[in-house]
Amino acid sequence: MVSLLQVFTGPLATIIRILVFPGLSFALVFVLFMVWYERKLLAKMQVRVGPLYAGGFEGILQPIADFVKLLFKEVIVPKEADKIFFMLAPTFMMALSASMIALIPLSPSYMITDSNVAILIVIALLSLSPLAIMVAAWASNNKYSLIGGLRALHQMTSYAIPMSFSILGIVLMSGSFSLLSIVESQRSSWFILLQPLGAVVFYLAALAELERVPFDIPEAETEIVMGWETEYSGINYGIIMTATYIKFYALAVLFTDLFLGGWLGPAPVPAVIWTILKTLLMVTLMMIPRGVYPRFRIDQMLRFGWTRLLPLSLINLMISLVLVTFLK
Amino acid sequence: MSELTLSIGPQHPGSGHFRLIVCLDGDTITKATPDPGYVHRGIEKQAEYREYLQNIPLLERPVISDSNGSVYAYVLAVEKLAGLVVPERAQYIRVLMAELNRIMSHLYWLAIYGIFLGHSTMFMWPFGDREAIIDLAQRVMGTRLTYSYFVPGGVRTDLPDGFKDEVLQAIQFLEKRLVEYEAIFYKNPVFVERARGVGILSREDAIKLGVVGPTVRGSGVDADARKDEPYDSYDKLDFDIPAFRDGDCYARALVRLEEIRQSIRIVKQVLESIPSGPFRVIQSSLLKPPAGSVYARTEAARGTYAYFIISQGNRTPYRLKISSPSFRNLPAFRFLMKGSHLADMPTIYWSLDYWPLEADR
Amino acid sequence: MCDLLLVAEEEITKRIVERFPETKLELSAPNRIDLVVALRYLPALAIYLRDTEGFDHVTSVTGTDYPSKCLVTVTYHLGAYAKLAIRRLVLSISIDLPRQDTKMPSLSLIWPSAEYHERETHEMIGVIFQDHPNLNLLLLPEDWKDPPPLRKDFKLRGR
Repeated sequence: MVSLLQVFTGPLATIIRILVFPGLSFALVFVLFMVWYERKLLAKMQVRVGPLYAGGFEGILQPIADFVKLLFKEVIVPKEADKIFFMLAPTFMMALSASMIALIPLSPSYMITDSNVAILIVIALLSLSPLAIMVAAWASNNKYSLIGGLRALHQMTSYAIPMSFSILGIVLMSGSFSLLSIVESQRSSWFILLQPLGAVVFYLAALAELERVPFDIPEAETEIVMGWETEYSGINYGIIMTATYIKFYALAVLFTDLFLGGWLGPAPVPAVIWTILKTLLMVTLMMIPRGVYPRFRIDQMLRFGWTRLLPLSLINLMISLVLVTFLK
Repeated sequence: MSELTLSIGPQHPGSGHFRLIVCLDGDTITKATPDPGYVHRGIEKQAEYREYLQNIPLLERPVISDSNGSVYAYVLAVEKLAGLVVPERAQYIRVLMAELNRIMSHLYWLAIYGIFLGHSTMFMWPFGDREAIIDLAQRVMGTRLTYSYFVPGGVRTDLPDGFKDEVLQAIQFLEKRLVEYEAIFYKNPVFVERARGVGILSREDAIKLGVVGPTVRGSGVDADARKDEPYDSYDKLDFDIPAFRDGDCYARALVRLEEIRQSIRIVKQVLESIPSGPFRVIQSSLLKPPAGSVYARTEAARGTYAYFIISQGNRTPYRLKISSPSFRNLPAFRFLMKGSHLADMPTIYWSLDYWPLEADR
Repeated sequence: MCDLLLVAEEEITKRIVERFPETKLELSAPNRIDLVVALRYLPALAIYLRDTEGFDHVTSVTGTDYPSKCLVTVTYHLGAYAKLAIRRLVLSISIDLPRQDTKMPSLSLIWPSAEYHERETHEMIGVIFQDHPNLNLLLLPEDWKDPPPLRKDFKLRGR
């Protein structure tokens, strides 16, 4: 019998890592779990039960049921839409999200790849997502989609900057762009204790990048139907939703690696389990505002991003510089 | 970006059966024209073909979330025409049911406001709590939303035994929930940001446009038909009319919250002082009021409901004119949305509590 | 007690009768004043009621068709918000128009709250309000070709 470690270090190692764990299959399973988890969490906050019947135990297979349903629905392409880009945009989004996973390690033995500019590549990939959304919005040939796409563009570019600055603070503290070394340099203390401001900025910017409440203005259903996702139906919509949730998962693991010490934790529990637990905690924290807050208006949100979050991230950067000088 | 004309049309998750033609310049609305009429059913015309008693199910259908409020004015009008004197017990029962309906309607309003603002908890909680009141209504009147309970001359059936305790239990539950609503919804910083300073209607404009209900009370005019022209037993009950001076969406939302509290106060007093006696004065199926005309008004949840009935001595009315609060609030759309952000459109729209069915009749 | 309540109505009716002697006035019910006025006095009466008496908004506009008398009666119901003493009053002005020629000046310039009500009366009874800012169909569909629905010669099918 081949032992587990041999599978991951043997000749087919890279393929297994990319496709099974911690790559695509694990991400998809985790995403399915996250969808169920979110619905259950929200339901408990709202005095409901959430999914209950599918799969026997509290509706655990509900996301699979929904996904299969989406497979059966008709993929409607509007007559005047730009067909090529309309169909390519969801795949583009999926590619971006999947590439992010490749660079974010779950633990030293269960990772796909690392590079000494890993964090920069992740930031670059995040900054490409507004492009994908704009392509989707424009190709839909629909006024509502256009408005939603522009809103998403404004939102994501405005919040990518504070996020990058908070990441820069971490880079200063650890002295490297590689995620492996960033987690290693948290052996003495997790960065969330040294950079609480950076953590808050990253958290809020991540909520905005993911278009989650209270920043879900681009898909404000009551004004612009579904925003830039309006014209997408069937499996197209399934791909977009999966891509969004994979990005959610990626950002949660990124937060864990950057601020919560990644896989560092007491011995009996394997390192990768620590990462997953901490990721679950972050995912919960990012899901809770959905039940508590209404959504912001676009100008309030942009004002918040530029006048509050950006200065905070710059202050955080200065604090990191001070800390680095005095702790070294 | 150049001007864009959007039709927030009848097939839109945020519009109801109603169309708003909005001219946008970037993110600012330059002109908003309401286009009602998608659910016009010709109720005023149909009412001329039905007897006075048969009109009651017809007239309560436009306003299903507050059906007692719309029929109340009609029933008062017919009683004035026919010269009926309603027994006191029936008066108290009618006040009780109307106030319970007001609570139901305001909770529904809060829930849909949650949808418009993107707050799913604000949608789930009031809808769940509304069930407590709907169960009470079902206990007495047999159905959940459209009751046909008020008739000229009184009410259709008497209150069941043990009703007082059930109502008190529901009221206690609701009072606790209202405290939570205030903490989570009304003091929610995002809600305050979205609603405060948005859609300001000054006192002079409110009077000039002739708006009614919480819209006008949120602008500083404490006009309420229950106090201006008391009907049934409202003059024997002790309650306040909440009014706030700000005139923005937040003030209108606060008015409705306070009105729920005042309705609870009225319900408690009614349960204490309800007398015994007959609950209906005549069998009104062959009602033939003498010729004449009458104008009667009551305060429904959305505003002042008024009926103008012209009778020529027949079994059917000659002309029945319904003055519904949503129709009277229509001018506010054009006025308030000019110059606001596109994202303020649902905030303002629903703060006026516009019910398309009621406006179109 | 009743005398005190009637003071406001009596004073108002006295003043109106003084100013506009051709109006027919009736206190038909408690808190109700009904006026019937001829068309030529209407604008002056309206301005007087708004500015001096304080009836600042229109609560409804009703058009009634009397084919037997060859008349269309337009009734305005007015309310008051600002003046507390007359909040309980509802004053109605009725104007009789000949059935063949239902034209009258629009009062929406005096009371902006009347605009939508007059538009609805126009499409339902067929009254033409001169100088109305926008007299298009409001509730009826845009391609309505039949006569105004609330006229008595428009019969509902099946009834």
